[in-house]
Amino acid sequence: MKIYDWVSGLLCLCVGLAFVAGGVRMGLGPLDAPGSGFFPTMIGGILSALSLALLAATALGKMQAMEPRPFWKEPNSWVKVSLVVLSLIFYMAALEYLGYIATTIVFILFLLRFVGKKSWGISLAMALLVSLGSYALFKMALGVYLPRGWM
Amino acid sequence: MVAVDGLMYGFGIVFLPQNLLFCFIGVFVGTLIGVLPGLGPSGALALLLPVTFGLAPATAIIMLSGIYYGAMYGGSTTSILINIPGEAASVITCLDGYQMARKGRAGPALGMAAIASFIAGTISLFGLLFLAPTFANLALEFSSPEYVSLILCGLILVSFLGSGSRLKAFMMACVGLLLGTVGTDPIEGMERFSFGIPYLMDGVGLIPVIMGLFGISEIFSNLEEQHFHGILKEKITNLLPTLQDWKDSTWPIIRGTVLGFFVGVIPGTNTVIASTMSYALEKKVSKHPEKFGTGIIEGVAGPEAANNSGPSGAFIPLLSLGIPTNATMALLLASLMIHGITPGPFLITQSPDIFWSVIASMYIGNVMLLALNLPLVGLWVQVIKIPYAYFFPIILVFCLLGSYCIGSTIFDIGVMLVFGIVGFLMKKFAYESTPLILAFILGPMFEENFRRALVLSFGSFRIFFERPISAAFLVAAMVLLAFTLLPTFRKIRMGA
Repeated sequence: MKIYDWVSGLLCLCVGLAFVAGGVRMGLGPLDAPGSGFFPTMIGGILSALSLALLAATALGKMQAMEPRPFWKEPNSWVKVSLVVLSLIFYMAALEYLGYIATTIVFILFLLRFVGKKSWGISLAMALLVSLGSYALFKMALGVYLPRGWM
Repeated sequence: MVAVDGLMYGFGIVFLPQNLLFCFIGVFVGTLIGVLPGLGPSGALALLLPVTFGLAPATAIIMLSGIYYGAMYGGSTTSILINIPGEAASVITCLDGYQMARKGRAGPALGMAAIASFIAGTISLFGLLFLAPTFANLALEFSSPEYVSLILCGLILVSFLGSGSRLKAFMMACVGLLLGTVGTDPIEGMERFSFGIPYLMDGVGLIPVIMGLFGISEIFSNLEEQHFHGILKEKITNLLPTLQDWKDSTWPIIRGTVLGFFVGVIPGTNTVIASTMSYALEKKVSKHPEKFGTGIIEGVAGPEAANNSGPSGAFIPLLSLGIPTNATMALLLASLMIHGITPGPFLITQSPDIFWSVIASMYIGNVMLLALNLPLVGLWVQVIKIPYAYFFPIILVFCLLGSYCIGSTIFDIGVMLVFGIVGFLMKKFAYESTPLILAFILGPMFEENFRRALVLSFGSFRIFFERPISAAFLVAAMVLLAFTLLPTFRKIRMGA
């Protein structure tokens, strides 16, 4: 799939050039006392050169052809992946307000019910079990800090 | 004998009840995760890292080593029973192991895999025991140029040995190095690429990046398709190999052990390479090479031995030089550093409890694996039957906990999510994540030593070639590079 190589090559080129620009701004320093910007500039330069090589190889059709396949393995598999991403964003937003136990219960309930397609009963039981179980293990047995939120 | 005294000291630590308990938990949970498809040793270690935060350093490292061994072994079980490697290194075991299972010989295949792993693990530990102190002494001669050349050699090797495009692998190594420059400059204290965000002043967190690239992205990929396992119907009986099996397997085990150990020492290699090489070697020396792939025991015994002696080899550069040779070792390094221990030439003298208890715990871990796996095979088979839908939320919670617990900041969860998406895209675009991770971990060390070397040499690059050890590493790296580039040049000339 040529388009994958074009996109990823351009992205890496941008990353490389950004580090070169940032590195030059920080100051390269003399060769016998390289400054903060020396290493990022050097590696950023190498990455840019490699990305250009990839783009050139793609343009000339020299890249080993990946077998043509659609981006998603199944037509609607993007739904599941998106739901998991959304639930992780919810977790980030809620963790410090709702606390570990409540956030984790909601998180697992949602994933099992809507991504795993399990029944409400099983999902709720699993959510309670995992949330309370991991809280007991990490907070009580191992003394790891977990946010309590409003509780 | 320093080694014998040290080992006795190590056993003294391991046999403390809490250490034995955590070694057992490590081996058990490691096997469990290894049996689950999709999560290999790196994933297992990353997931269970937070469990070790509250433990004493020696206990933590004992448990982590146990997880590593367990996950390696668990992967073989699924290879043999359902033809799905639980982790990458077991791909080779599928070839003959699954065929043996189809012929109704799953028992001996599982038994021999366990025994070969045990023998290889035990023998290779002697290698580690005697070579690590030697390496540490050698490493005392190392200064900046040697570290630069060694790391460079390792990074080129890891890109060279990957399965996909080498150009892309080198690109990922560069991205990893660049990622490592984010944060405070180690020499001048200047803030770099942190955009005024306080979190980024210490650099991007290693654990969230690993959790994202190896954990979250794996979950995304697994969720995309429905899993279907062709579960073995037959009951597994008689795990003990026959006398003929023993005869056939003895030499493959010994050859696999030696091969795996030395491959493990080389930076940038991993156990897949060791087991693949062992399989190829056995096929070459065999009197009946045509039978490989039809379910013969040599095809299981050799690669399994190589696969399990590799880690012992890989511990040498980690413990004596502080250089991880693969992603799994990088995680162990990270966990040691979280506990305030910096592996390097002084580890053996300054933290002998860590060094010797790791080695002693491996012996105990190997015994536990043998004791655990043969009787519990039935349990592992049941585990394989549990649908993935029940597992992924739990794995996600562990990833979240692991990322959050290190710094108690939501920002780490964000980093994990971002790298989960990046890792998912990398899979889609056929990029490998191992070069990125290894470069990211070694990056700061590489940069610091590179700049120090240039200061030492008054700005001359000749310093890297004038010192013999450094020159040797560089020559090795260049030979590899030449191998990579030669076919390209030839093609260009042919095309012109």
